[in-house]
Amino acid sequence: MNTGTPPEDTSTAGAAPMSPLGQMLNGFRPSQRLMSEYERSMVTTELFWDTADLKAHLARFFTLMVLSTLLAAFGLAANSVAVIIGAMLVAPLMTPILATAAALLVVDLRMLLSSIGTLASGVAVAIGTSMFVTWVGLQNFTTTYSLPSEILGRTQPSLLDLGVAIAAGLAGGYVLTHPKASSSLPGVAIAVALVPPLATVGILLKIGATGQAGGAFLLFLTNLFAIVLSVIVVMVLSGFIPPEIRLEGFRNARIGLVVSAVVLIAIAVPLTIHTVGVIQDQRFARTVTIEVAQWDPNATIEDLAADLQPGGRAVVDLIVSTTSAAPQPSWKLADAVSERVGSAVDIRIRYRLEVADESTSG
Amino acid sequence: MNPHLAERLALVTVALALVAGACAANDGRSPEVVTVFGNQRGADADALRSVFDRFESETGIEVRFTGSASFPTAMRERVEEGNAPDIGFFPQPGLLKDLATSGYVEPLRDDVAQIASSSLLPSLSDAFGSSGDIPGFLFQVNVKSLVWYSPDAFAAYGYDVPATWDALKDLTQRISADGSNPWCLGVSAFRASGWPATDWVEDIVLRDSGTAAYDSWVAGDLAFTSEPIGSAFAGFGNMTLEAGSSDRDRRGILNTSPAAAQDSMFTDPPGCFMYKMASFQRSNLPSGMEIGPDGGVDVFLLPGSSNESAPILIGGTVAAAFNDSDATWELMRFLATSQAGTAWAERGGFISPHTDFDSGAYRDDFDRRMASLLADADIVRFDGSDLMYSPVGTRSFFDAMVLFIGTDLREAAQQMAEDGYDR
Repeated sequence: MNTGTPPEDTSTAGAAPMSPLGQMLNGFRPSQRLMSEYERSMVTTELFWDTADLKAHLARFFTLMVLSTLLAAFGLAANSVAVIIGAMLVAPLMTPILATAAALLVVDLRMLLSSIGTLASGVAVAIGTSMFVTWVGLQNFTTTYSLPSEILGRTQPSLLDLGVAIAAGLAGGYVLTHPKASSSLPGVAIAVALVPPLATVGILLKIGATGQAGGAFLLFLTNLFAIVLSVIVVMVLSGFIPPEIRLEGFRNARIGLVVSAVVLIAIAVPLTIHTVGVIQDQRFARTVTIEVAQWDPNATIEDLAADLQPGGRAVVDLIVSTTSAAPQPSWKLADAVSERVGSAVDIRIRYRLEVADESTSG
Repeated sequence: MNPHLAERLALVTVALALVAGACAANDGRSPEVVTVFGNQRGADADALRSVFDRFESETGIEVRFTGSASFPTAMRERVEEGNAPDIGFFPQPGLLKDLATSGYVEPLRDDVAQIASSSLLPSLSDAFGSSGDIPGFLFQVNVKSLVWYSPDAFAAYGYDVPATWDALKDLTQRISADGSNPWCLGVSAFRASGWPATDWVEDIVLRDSGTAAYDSWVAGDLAFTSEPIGSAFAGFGNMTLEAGSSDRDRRGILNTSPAAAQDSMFTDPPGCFMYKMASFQRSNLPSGMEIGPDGGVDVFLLPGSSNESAPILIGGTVAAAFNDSDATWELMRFLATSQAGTAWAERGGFISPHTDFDSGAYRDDFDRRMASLLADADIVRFDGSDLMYSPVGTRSFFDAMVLFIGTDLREAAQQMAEDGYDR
């Protein structure tokens, strides 16, 4: 990255040697289109809260934040997609995120700090609220085994989530700079849900599942930085940067792009590793399923957890129901699976033997 | 219990370690493969793998190892189905003897027997008592007559490590009188439920009635109904099953696994103060806990009944061949040598039965201490339940202990009286 060089020189003329990113940004020069002062003010009044009614804005923000988190936490607990979507629509986090990007581009340090501050306190409020809800109302959640799928699904973000977040961020930036498209904003909010992952973090922290809470927070960070990156790109392309501060605006845009790109790449690493792991585990689980059918045709798989661990060890946790009082022993399956995958395999099988008793009366 | 549906959840763990074809055949022949079946899983299986790795690199013969938690049942089934492994790693020499009687086991080749016995610890020479010839050799041993305790808890409550059996009984009573529970106990282990209690009875028989009675009992000559055995059962009950003797009631003992039974020893205040369990319990200790007088946990040898040195009960692995192939005997010969276990010892949890094993190879002082306890012992006997005729040793004896723990005779009689049957 070239952020170390003096920005004045590199950004004044296209003739100066530039990094690939610099060249790319140079290409973004909004020669085609420049926002009018009026258009720009439409965006900034929407995003930058006046000091005069900052209190009212903040009150509204935190009220919506708490309500949205409550909806998200209850929706997650009830495993209700509809309620969780409701929480996404109520969530006010999009405003400070867009404001952060905009403040960076119009070189407004005060606004930048206040937007980041609002964002950070919103995150804290969301996590705190969902921890409180879990403590008060969700006491039946004591282990990770009892968690609904909507919660578990948010603990393992993949590259897919990154793709969704970038596309939605682009849409968000587009809607913002094209106010006539504002009817699409709810769709954007749903696509890059920010509050449900935070509510998930709170619930998991409260029950002590810190590892999974970290996964949910990674999902939140993925969404957050993908949006910031996409929004900056769209805003630059839309000619949002005022001509009088173009140099400085570009420099800031570049810093913003570099920072969020670096963070995104940093996030993409665990996401990629995780995605590859999920695909491998799924393939391995299919292998195990095939082997189980040959191992004991009378066994029905009730639950299967298959995990290929780094270092080449495979771990299988299996629950089978069987009608046979003398089920096949686990070592035969372990031998077969190990033969197939060519690595060491640890297998644990729990057999569920169902015994029926029937009566008729009357 | 739901009357319509009884659900039984069984649990079997199998770990399997297998090496990929490390030895691509030199001249197009597929490499020879020797299959080994035992009960090691997880970390133990990995450690064993490192032993086989060395053999593979020296000989080019591939070893496939499978370890099953239900080894006794699975091994018998494999042999009877004609699907025997080339080599069996028996924690139960009694089962090996049964299979040999039925003609399934290859007699130990003379050269292998010679290698194994030439450096066997003298203290182990009578470990199998009068159980007769066992067509295998000891590859690895563990010490069973140990009591685990927390030196900090003993110091805080002013308890001393007992030097004699009577002192142990006194300490048990004193801890009870202080309002605490002296013993940790848990015997839940699926098909092997009850086994920790069999160790208790065996240790008491060895201490109260001596090796002659012990050997004759294990060989099936002295009945379970005889006085020495009956009083050992009673001794075990008096020590651990009386109200307040253990931190769990009888149902709790039956429902707690041996690995987890120690946990309440490390709470504050301690739920129990002493846990009689084998040396392999070290792998179940809370992570990072050091063993020793200054560590979070230490062991003392279960004291002997008089001034003479305490007898030691051991468990271990006996290797035996089920195939007469040269590759099989090559591996057997390797395993019989005193340095074969070095790779495992370096990972911890391996104690060698050989006099000339390099004690520098042990991972830590605890393993070295176990090795020297064993070398210095006057009397060593193999775990009786593992050495007996196996349907008795690994089934009836286990079941008897579960029944013994689960049935409080006094309480049952009291209940009968209350129900009006006692008129």
